[in-house]
Amino acid sequence: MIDAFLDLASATTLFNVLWATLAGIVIGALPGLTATMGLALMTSLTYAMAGQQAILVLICLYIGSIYGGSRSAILLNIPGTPANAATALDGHPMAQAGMGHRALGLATVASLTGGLIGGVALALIAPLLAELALGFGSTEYFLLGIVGIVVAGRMTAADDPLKGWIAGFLGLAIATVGQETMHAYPRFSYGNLDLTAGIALIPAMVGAFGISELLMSLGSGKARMVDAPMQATPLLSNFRDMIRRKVTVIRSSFIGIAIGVIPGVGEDVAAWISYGAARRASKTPDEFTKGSDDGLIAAETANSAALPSAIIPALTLAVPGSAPAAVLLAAMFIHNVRPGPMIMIENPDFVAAVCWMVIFGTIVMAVMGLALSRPLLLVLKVPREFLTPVIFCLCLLGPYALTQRIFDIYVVLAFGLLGLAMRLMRYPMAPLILGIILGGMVDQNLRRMLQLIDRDPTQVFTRPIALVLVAVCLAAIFAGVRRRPRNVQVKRQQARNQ
Amino acid sequence: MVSELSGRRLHVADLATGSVLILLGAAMFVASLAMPTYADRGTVLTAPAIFPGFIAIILFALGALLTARTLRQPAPHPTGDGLAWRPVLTGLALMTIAIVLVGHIDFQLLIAGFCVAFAAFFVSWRGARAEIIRKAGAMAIVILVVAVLIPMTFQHVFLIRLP
Repeated sequence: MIDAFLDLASATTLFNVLWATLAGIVIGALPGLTATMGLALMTSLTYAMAGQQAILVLICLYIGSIYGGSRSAILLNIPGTPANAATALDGHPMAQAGMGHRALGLATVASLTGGLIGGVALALIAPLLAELALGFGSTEYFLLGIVGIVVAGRMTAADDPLKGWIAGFLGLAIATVGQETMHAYPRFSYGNLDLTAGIALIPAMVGAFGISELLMSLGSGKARMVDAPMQATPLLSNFRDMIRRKVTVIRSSFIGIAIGVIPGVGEDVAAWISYGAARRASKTPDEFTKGSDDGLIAAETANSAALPSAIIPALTLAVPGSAPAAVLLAAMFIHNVRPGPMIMIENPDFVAAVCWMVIFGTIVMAVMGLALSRPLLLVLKVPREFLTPVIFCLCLLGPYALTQRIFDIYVVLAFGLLGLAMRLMRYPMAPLILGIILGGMVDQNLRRMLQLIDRDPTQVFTRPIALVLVAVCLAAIFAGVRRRPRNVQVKRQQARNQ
Repeated sequence: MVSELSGRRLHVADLATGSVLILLGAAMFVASLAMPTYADRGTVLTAPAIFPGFIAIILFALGALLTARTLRQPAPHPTGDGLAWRPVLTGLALMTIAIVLVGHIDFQLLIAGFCVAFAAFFVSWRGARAEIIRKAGAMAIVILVVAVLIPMTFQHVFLIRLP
């Protein structure tokens, strides 16, 4: 860890951490620009940078944007990223009551705490998971992919898991397009060279998250910032409030870390689960959604703790823990870093460097969030109609820059349409993207597994890790098939409408 | 205000999606049957059709489940869910036209044209003269950024040949 720190500590690193975190905060704060989209666009801009610095920029942007989303959630009641939806429930009522400054301060300190605890978890869990993954064979990798889709589908579409599973398996279906790796047979290409190369991840993500978000925001009317005067709150009082709510902080951090590690689930689910847990544990549950400190802290701590945790499976299994982590994973491949179980053997310094990147980014995020509290409010005043053409131009040029194929621009449009339709019909986007990412791995390992077990399915049950994965998969399906209590559905719907 | 579909619209959309998934699953399965098995290379267990066939069956089953579930529920009464389709469809049309024209006309000209068209549809040009001048100035800056600065950065800094 010390070697990695010394290797990373330079003026270039400091410069990159500063601008990338600030850019992330701005991107996150702007409704219509999500962390995933920001990362997807930035991947093309960091193409020419040195590998480690490029990953540093992306991680800092990721941290900044998840935090930045809390500002619009608190002041506009519009979550800047899906991860901040639970933040708006208590943050916005606080702002309306004239405690906007305190809400921003609490969100910043909660994000700092969650991010640092998550960073430590990354340093501790990643080597252990990598070691465990060394025992994975084709059976385990195949099952891991299927478990990822089933669990992500279940958790990102809690009200209707069937739609989450449809999105995930649709993603796997999309991944079948193009040349397969075992016999180099072009599937569903119909003689088209572009289709033979397959559907690239970045254009698909820019379309699904970027274009569809732009289109949705065009019809969502103008957001209005709270006009209640903001009373300044001393910085130390935010820390004191956090210490007073240490149980909520610790619980939310653990929830964030646990949810972050699950493939494809991500920060938004972590924030919701943590919020629900805080409400259940609270002695004053009626205060929730009316400006509760516990609610705000639970949501922000969990989403920030889930962020480094989502990088753990991306690094050690090459399976992303969230949609932005999926872009990060793609960027690692672009910059010749090979994530997977061998990373601790081939490139252990890189894992340690990633931990430091998370810690640097989190600290700079908190400093900037507290120091630039008022200037950052200006970002929220940028009219959407002036911002849309800029984002649209980046959505076209970003994915094109990676491969210089016009076909990728058409992929952006196609996935923009698919994303819009899915959003309108209440399908989650994360399992779709996870399916596209995991498709190759699931395909290859399914066929290898079939060859190894040679028509004897009982062999799967002789492998303990495979048994655990089958049990998790069945539990997720069973939990999804069971009807959810109606009051939970109503609460979620109410929260979504807010 | 654009929101997710609800009520009767969602019911119809679910029914349509279920049917599309059934058709997609069936078509994918038939297409995978037509793929080579490469049995001459030792085993059919690594055939390229195995994975798409597996996914096709699951998609078919999920589509059938969605359709059956939707049919079992009574169709809700139509409600006005206040979807603002006009701005979404206008934006979609503008983006589609711009993307279809990429590669056929100069990129910078195309993107400047997109900005002008976007401003015509989405920026309110009513109000006091000073306000209109302020908006026009802001839009001119946006056009400068989008049609000149961003493409030039990609072209000269990242050495990307514009489409």
